[in-house]
Amino acid sequence: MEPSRSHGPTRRGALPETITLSVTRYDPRTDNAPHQQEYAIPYRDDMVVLDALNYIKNQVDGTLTFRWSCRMGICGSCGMMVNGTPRLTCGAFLHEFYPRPVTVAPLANFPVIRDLVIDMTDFMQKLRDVKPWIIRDEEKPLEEGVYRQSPAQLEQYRQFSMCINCALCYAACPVYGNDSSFTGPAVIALARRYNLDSRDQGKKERSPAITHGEGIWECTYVGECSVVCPKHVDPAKAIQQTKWDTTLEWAKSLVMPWGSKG
Amino acid sequence: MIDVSEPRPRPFFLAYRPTLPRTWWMRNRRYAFFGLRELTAIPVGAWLLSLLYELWRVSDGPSGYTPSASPLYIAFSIICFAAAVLHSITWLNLSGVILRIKMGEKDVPPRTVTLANYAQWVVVTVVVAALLIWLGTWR
Repeated sequence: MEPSRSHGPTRRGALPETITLSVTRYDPRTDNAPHQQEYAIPYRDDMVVLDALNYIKNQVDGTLTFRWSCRMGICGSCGMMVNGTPRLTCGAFLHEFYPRPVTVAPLANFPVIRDLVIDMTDFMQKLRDVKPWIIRDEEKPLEEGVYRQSPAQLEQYRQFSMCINCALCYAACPVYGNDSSFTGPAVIALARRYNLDSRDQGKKERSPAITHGEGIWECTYVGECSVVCPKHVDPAKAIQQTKWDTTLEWAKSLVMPWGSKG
Repeated sequence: MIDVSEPRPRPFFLAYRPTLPRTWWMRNRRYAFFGLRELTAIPVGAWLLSLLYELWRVSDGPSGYTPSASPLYIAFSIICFAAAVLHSITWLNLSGVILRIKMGEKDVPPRTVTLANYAQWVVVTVVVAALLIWLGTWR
């Protein structure tokens, strides 16, 4: 860290610098709709939005509810709208916004259970539908060892395997926001991750969950899913590639109906 | 005993369900550009309709035909041309992202695929333009 940066009131001895957070509050027992509540808290430039929320919960208002776990960008549970953009709050530094206030809201396009906590049931259901695990026609016996893979074969799907299921891409997707029956970016990217895996044989089994009417063809390539993805998965790429592959396979089955194998 | 006067939590299915506002495309520049890109289909389609109309006009033979030279039609054509160029560029830029061409064990780099598509675009444009000019001088 640059030594010139301020580290807050303790080092400066002046009045504490503060930053204002406008946080969405929603109590399903009493509220009909969410509303914003403002908190002014001491500012330090090494704080992230998640630290600020924890400060509020520990020091100001214990009723504030939000999800978090690892605070290092791998668990995918602290995703929220930070100034209108889906972000992992553990990776969103306050100095990006200071001295302007920061607005924190639950991830867009999802039902809100309470405050900043969303209901991810729909996402989890869709994730299960694409069977995101290696499917084999027949498992080989343990004695025969592991399924081997070359670095080039790994490279085919590696990018799509970085997904942490944080659902920021769903919050960025207006197609999903408009109609939540859309399978959505992360789920299709994960289906592609397994379809491209040389050890996998489950492409056909996975296909119904992504090529149906609300699957890949609903995507209009807005591309914002790939912009907000904290792991550079590029779900938009995965979806467009799946469209292309599906079309080629369909064309092939028309020209060579006898050659359509699994 | 449960105190029924206490407010009880509503089940999750009564969670607050947000709706996508109609102004969603104004949230950032990328959304707005997406809207613009999709809208380019309208001028492109409109110009093709106008081309059909011109073809219908010329069907009586070349003697009575003069191309429309009204400023309005020229402005319309310029807008349609700009839309067609934007549509084509965004489309061709995508080609590198989507097309995976295997070369041995590796894929051809996306940049190469995109550039190859641009090269094709230029070649096809030149050939078609040359053909049209040649046909125009051929009486």
